Amino acid sequence: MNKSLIALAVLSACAATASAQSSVTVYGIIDAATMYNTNQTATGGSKVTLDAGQLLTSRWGFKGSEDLGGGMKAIFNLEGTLANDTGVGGAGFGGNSFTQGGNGTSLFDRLAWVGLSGNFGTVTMGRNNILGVDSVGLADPISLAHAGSNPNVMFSALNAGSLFGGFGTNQGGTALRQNNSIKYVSPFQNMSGFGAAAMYGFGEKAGDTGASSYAGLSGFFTDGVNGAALSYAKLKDVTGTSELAGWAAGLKYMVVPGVTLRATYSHNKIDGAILIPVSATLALNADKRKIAVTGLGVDYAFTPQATITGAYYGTKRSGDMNGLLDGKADQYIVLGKYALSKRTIAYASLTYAKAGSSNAQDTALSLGIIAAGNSSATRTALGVLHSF
Amino acid sequence: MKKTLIALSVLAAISGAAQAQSNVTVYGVLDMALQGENNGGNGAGKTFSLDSGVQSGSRLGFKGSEDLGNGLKANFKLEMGVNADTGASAQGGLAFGRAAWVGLSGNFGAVQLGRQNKPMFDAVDSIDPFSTGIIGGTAHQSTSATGLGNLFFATNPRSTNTINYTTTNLSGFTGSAAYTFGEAAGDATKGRGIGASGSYAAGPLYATVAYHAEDVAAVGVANNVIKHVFAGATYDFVVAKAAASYGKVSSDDNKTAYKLWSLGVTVPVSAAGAVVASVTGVKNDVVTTANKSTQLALGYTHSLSKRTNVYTSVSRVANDAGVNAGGLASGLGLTDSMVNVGIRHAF
Repeated sequence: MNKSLIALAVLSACAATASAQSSVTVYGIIDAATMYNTNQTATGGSKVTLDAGQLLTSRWGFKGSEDLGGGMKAIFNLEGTLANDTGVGGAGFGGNSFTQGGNGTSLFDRLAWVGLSGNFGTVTMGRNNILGVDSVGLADPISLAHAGSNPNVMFSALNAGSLFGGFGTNQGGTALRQNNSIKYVSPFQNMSGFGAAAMYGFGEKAGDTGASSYAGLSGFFTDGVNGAALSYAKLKDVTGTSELAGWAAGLKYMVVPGVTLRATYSHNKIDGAILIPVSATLALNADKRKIAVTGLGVDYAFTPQATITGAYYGTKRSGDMNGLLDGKADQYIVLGKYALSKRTIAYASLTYAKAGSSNAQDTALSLGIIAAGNSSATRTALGVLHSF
Repeated sequence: MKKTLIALSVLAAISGAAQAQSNVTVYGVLDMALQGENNGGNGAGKTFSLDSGVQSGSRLGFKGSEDLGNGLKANFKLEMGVNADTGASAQGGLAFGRAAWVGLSGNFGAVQLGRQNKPMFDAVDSIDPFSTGIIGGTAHQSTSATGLGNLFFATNPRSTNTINYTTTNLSGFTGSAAYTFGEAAGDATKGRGIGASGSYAAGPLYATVAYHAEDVAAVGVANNVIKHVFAGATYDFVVAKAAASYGKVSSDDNKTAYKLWSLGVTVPVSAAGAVVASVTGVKNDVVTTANKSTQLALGYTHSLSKRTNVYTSVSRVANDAGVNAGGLASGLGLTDSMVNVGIRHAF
């Protein structure tokens, strides 16, 4: 999947420890799909698009490690989103904007950290994924496909800035990754066994250490095939008075070889007054807003190359504005993947989304699949993913 | 530290010279530190932060050279600054804000065209025991600088639209000259920058002088050239390396006038560790009283390998009522202190 660059011998020679090895890996994913979407206008018109990153978000990255001896390593990773439908690199990350992208832009928006790993575990400092992503990501029913409309990516992992904006170190926009954060993951040998992780993101506000902070804890188990994970997170807004707290859990179990069941659950709740815009001119108090996501899926591998996935997501919103904005939306997805090689996958998916009503508080929970004024929609995608 | 990408054969095929050799080196630095500041945000209270590029600006770069024969080489560098705490591009969002140049080098020296370091910056950086980092916060906004970096660099350690010529090493002497095009229509002096530096190295002694003049006035306004001069020397006594420097800043409009000095020492305490200390003073000559700033700094760096080190420092800046030294205590009359601990990894 990845290419290692050969280190110059002269540089290996000047490294202090005999065991020092050096490499930079340049890697990435380019994924594009054509999509046919129904009910995209109030009168039921359809739309055809070409979108990037539908099976996995398109990206490019640089990573490497240096052996410091005694089991200790220095490690780094820089990774950015590539919108290969337009050529834009990087993405918005927040900066006092409640929109999903935010108005701060980041070239390496996905990951930017340096750290140490050793017998004590791994510590990384910089811009890290929140622990909830790892928890639901372990068992997401469609393995994080269709990230822009995936309820686990957008709600469980706090990516939906339009509904959760304003909490954590990004101060708006997506909270899926946290700026200014330090993350610890316990020793976890050979991707097997029990582990735990803790993470803290500094709000960096003078005189108020808690404001705009992120704090998370998680525990997980995996044997490489089956796995379970549970995480808790607490994020504060820029005033330090309103708080977003949530749980995310994932469970993956292989029933028989080739058949794997996946289940996820998350809920995130706002506690304390915070104004979140619903339009350019209107902002509403989101206190007590709760969004819960249930995900269920089954993978069936016909052959080592061909897998078909059936999945269900249920999303419910409740609590804020005395229940005035309560809503729900469901997604039913069939996703087929065919591996043309280790690095290249062709895929097709069919999604049916059904909202509780055609009102905005219901259709918004479909994450763009259903346009305003409709209560259901279908989406057909045909794409190819290439990793390098 | 550096890796080489093997050139695509298609590119080798289209290059003209038979002896052409080509490679691209991918390299970088990632540097993160936990910092505690006493009066963050100019007195609003204590700030705790996790910041990028405290010792050395975090970066990702591509560079290479091609042998053109007869000792002549074509060289290039593209280097992006990365704020690793957010993943964002540094230098105001420029894609390759740290360096973007192409040039030739040979027996005559080296010429580089594009965005690059000012000779002034390289001179200051070569004397400062903290290498314009570690103390006082983010690199280049720090009050390190052999001190007070911004004052020396004329608001920016780098310049765009610049031609730079550097001599070869002439028995220990090296010189650089740079010209920055202002690119203002109808006015060749507007926005223009001129820089020069010379250095001499002989055994334990290293000495350098540098000059930088830059027109900072907006288009349509009378020219206002800020001039910087700098002189510094280091001497390695083996048990310790001493550094001393002096600088002066003045402007055509007489609204900017500083004198700066710094004394520093680097003491190796083990094969891997070194204690670094400096004291830096600034005098604002625009006002006549309460016009001094003083910075005290103490740091320690410890190498885990040739490419990875950890560091810590404590620093304090005190401004008199009539001077703002910039960087850590960036306000008239402000006093601030900072403690940090970080890790720097080069690849």
